[in-house]
Amino acid sequence: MIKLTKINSIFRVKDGSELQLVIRSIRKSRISILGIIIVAILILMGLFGPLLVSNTPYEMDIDDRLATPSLEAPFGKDEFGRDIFTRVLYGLRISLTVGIVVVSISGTIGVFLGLVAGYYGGISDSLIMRLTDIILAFPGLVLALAVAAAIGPNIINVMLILSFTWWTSYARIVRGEVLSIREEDYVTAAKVMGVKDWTVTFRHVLPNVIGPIVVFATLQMSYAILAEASLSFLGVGLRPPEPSLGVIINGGKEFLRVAPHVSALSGFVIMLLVLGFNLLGDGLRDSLDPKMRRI
Amino acid sequence: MTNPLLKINDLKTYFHTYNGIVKAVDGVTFELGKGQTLGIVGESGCGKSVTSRSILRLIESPGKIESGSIHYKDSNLLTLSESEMNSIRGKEISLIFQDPLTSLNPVMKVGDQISEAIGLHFDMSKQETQEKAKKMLDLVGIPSSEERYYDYPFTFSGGMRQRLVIASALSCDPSILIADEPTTNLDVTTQAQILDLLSDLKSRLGMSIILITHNLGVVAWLCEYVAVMYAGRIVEYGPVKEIFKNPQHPYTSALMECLITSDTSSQVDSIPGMIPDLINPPSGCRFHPRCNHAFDRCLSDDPRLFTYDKKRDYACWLKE
Repeated sequence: MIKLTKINSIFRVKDGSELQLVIRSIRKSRISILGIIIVAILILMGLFGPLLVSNTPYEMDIDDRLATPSLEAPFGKDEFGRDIFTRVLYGLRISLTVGIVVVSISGTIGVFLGLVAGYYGGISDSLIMRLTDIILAFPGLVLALAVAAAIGPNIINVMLILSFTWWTSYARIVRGEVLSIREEDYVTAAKVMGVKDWTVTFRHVLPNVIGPIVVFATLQMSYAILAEASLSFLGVGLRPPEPSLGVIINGGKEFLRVAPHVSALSGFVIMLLVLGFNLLGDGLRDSLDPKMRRI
Repeated sequence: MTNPLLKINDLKTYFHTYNGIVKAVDGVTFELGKGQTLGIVGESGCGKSVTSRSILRLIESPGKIESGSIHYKDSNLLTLSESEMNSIRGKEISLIFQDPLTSLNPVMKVGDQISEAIGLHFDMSKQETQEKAKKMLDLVGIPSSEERYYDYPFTFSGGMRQRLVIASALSCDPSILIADEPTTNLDVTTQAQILDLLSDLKSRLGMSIILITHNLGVVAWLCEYVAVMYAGRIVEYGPVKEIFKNPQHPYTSALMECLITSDTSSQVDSIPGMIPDLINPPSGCRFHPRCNHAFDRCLSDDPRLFTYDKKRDYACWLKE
C-alpha cells in the first residue's frame, strides 16, 4: 500500500481558478519574471523617458560629434552631435507603438478570419486558408520592402504593411484550435439551447483559444519591432532624422571603426527589447499550457 | 395515441462518407405523448444518438436527414428555417449529453452558462435571468446556489456537473427533454441520484422525456414506453411492462438475456456477432445473421413493423 500522504505529495493538487494557476506559475518561472522586468523597464523608459530628458532627439551639437558615452550623454553622441540616449528613448516609443499597433491589427484580422474559417468551414475555410497560403508564399520582409518602396516610406505605411501580411499566422493558429474546440460537447450543448452560431463562436469558442493567441501575440511583438528596425535600417521605414532605432543604427554604421557605440548601444536596446518579449512569450506558453505548468 | 406531442415518421439520416452511404437511421417511426417517457435502447452504433440529434437538426456534414418528417405540436421541424429552429432548441426541446465533464464550457461561470439560454428565449432583464438560473440550481439540488452560481465547472464533481447540465437543459421549461445516456459516465450511486432527479423533475414539471440508454434496468425504472433499436431501425416498440414481460422480437429477448443478474453462478450472456456494417446492411431482416430463429424468409424479405395486441409493434417474420 502506498501511503496517502505520499500520493498527495506526488500529485500536489492546488485549487484556484485557471487565471490564478497561470499567475502562480508565472511567478515561479524565473524566465517569465526576467522577461516581465525587461519589458516593463523598457516600456516605462519609452513612456516617460522623453518627458524626463531635457534635450530633444533633433538637437545637434557640432562640437560634440561622435562623442563617447559620458555622464551627460550616457550613450554618447552621433555624427551630428545628437544625444543618442534621447534618440533611443524616442526610438523605443516608435518601436513599441509599431509593435502594439501591428499586433492589434493583425491579431484582430487573423483571429476573426481564423474563427470564421475554423467554425464555419466549407467555402469560407477554403477561401481564407488559400489567401493565407498565398500571402505566406511571399518572403515577408522582401514584400514589405517592395510595398514600402512603392507607397512611400513612413511609419503608418510600415505598420499597415506588417499588419496586412502578418495576420496569416494568427488565422492558422486560431483555425487549428477552433477545429478541435467546435467538436466539443459544450459547443454542441450551446447550439442545443438555441444559441446562434455567431454567438457560439464568440462567447464559447473564442475564450477557449485565447491562450495560444496571447502567447503568439507576445512573440510577434518582438518580430514587429525587429521588422520596423530592419525596414528603417534599409531606408524604407522611417527616414532620418526620425529617431527610430533602425535609423540610429544605420547612421552609426559609417562610423563603426571610429565610434562603435552609436550602432552598438542602440542595437543593444533592440536586442534587449526583443529578448524581453521572447522570454515573456516563452514563459507564458509554459504557464498557459497545463501540461507544461509546474505547480 | 390521439394527439402526440412529437411524431416521427419514417426518419432517414444518412452519412455520406468516402466508403459509401452509412444508413445510421433508416426509417424510424415513433410517437411521444405529453408527459410520457420513452426509452430508446440498443447496442452502440445502432442509431440512437443520431435519431436524437436529428430531432434537433444537429446533424452536420457529411450527415444529412434524407427523408421523413418530425412533427412537433403543429409544425414539421424538418421544414423550419434555421432561426425558427433556434427558437425550438432549448425552449421546446432540449438535449443532455452523456459526458457531463465535456458538456460545460471550462472558461465560463456555470451560472452564466445556464442564464445564457434563459436570456435568449425569454424577454427578461439580466437580473431576472440570474434569479431564474439560481432557481434552476436549487431545483437540481446544487447546495448554496447563491455562491455556486459564480463558480467554474472544474470546481464541481461529475455528478454535480450532470446536475448543472440538466439545470441548463431545463432552464427554459422545455416540453421535451432528450437525455442521451445521461448516466453512462457516472458511478453507480451517482447514476441512481441523477435518475431519481430526472424522474422527480418529470413529475414536477410535467415534461416528456426521451431517454437513450444501453441499460434496460434504467428503462424499466423510468420509462413507460420503450423502443428497441437495431441497425438504424426500431425492431420493437410498446409499453415497457408488456415488452419486458413478453418480448416478441428475438433481439429484444437476446438483450434481456444479457442483463446481469444477482445470480453469481451463471455466466454473463452476450449476443454473438457484431452489429452489421451500415453501409451494406444484411438483406432481409437486418438481425438475421445473429438471430437463432432465422429462417429462409428472413434472408430475403424485410419485415415491417407488425402490430401485436393493438398496443405494441415488432418487426419479425416469426410470429406473423
